[in-house]
Amino acid sequence: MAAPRHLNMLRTPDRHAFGVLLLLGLLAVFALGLALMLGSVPVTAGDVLAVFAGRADGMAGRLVLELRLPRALSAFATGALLAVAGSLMQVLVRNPLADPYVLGISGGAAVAALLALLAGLGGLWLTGSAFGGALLAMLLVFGLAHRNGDWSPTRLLLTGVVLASGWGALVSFLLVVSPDSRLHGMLFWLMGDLAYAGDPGPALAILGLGLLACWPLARDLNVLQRGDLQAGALGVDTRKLQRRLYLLASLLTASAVVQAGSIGFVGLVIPHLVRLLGLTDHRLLLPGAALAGGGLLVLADTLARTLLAPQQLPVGIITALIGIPLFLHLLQRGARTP
Amino acid sequence: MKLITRQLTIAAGERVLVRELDLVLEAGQRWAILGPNGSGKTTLLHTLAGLRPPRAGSVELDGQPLDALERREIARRLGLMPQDTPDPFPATVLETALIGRHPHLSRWQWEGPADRQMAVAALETVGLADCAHRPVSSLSGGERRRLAFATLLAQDPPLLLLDEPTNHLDFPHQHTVLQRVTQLTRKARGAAMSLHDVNLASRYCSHALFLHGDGRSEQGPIRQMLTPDRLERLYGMPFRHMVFEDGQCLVPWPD
Repeated sequence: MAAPRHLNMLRTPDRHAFGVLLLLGLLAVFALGLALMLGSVPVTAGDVLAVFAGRADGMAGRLVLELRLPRALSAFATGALLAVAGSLMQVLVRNPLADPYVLGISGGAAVAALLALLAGLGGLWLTGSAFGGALLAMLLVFGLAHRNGDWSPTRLLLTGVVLASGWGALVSFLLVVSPDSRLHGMLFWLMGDLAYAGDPGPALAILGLGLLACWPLARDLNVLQRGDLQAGALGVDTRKLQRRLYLLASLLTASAVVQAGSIGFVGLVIPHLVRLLGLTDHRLLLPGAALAGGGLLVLADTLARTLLAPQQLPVGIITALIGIPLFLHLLQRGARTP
Repeated sequence: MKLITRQLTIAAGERVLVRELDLVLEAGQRWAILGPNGSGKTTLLHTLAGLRPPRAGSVELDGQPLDALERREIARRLGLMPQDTPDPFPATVLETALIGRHPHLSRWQWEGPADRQMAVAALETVGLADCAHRPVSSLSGGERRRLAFATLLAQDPPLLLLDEPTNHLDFPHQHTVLQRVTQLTRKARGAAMSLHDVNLASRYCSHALFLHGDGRSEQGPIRQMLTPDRLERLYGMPFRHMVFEDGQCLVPWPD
């Protein structure tokens, strides 16, 4: 018999958590709506709705459907991919300071992408080589850290961090030897930019598949975040789970990097932000992170292309400018509550 | 519930900690694992839990070799309260206790009211029900140990393995925890725990296993094992046996 004061503890699952999830969903929809309306030619909310209802006059319809919608969806997919990858990576290395790039995956992609830019390649070639670089970086960490079968988070983290700094050096080298004419594009790529994101379809598909692949592992993640020993004692095959996490986090990160370069901050801070909002169960945290990361990046990208219009800013700068104060505020508030 | 080790040898690196141990742990028994620091108590518990492969020999649970069982199946039959439970990510006390239900739920299943009830009851046992919605990071060291014990209670395994369960606990809670273990293991369940307090061992345990740390081990019913002579040989330090009108105790007594 539970005493009355315990009744709310017996309710499954937490109502507050679902409320937060709903709110994040609304935020994402709001951000997407704003992204469709704002720009060099403003479109009213009514016109945006009319476009989707199929009653659009030529100009607004083309602007919304052909220009703004693909870019907004690319931003959403990229932000969501980074946030989910960050959540996974943090549990994988049992370190809340990890971000999707901590193991050097973006470094590998960056080196390959810069080589492609240096060679004057673009479009699919750029995308393809960035993805190849990410895969190479991923296999390198995996091979080096996993050699004797013992996969401690510290070893993984150290291997990744050391390789990441190696990639960093290669990136600097490439920037130094590149002709000035190429530098601007390279810097934009490195800072993260959605201007050349292209078709959002593949990234959205990978996001969907990634979430479907992660979600069945979510309760295992709740256990694994309390350490290998506790996870093993509670029936989790930790070695298998870690390998899957590594593959999933790496592929999601690689897809995001290919879409928009190395956008910082989203993958590190969104998982924390979502946890601070009260979503600590990974079954809710992962979808929550996807919505929050996607929504934030859509907002950031909208600002990036409107703030100093017609000049466009790299979206990575904006994510940091919005994200840092927001995060510090939540952190302060979280510290005050008992 | 029956756990058997056959010629079990465990080692840390080159150092053999336990050599060719034959042990039978049955329902109704509570084994105290005693020995100096670094003698292999934790390593042995991890090996018994199937979390670490032995150097040689085998562990059998209910007649099946441990390495032939799936991890989840093992977790339904035995539970381990680790010496240390890190929590780098935020979670509430109730969520942490609920983690104990993990091996009992299928992949797509959510914790139901019955699971929550078990977690809440476990928190009540350790006196943390009032903190159910507090973040774990706000708990003291001793409260965290009690929460780790509550997680094990929520797991509710037939065999309880406890690694220094009384570490960091105040005296009343040391007894609360061991009384609960005693209650649970009266009939269908068994327990093995590493301890550093021989008087708690003598009060609550039925058997003792001494680990000397060089491969040698001794075992037997608790009364036979806890004598000043044997303890002196185990710890390399003299012990005194003190007898009162209504009880007795063993006290380390350096020369």
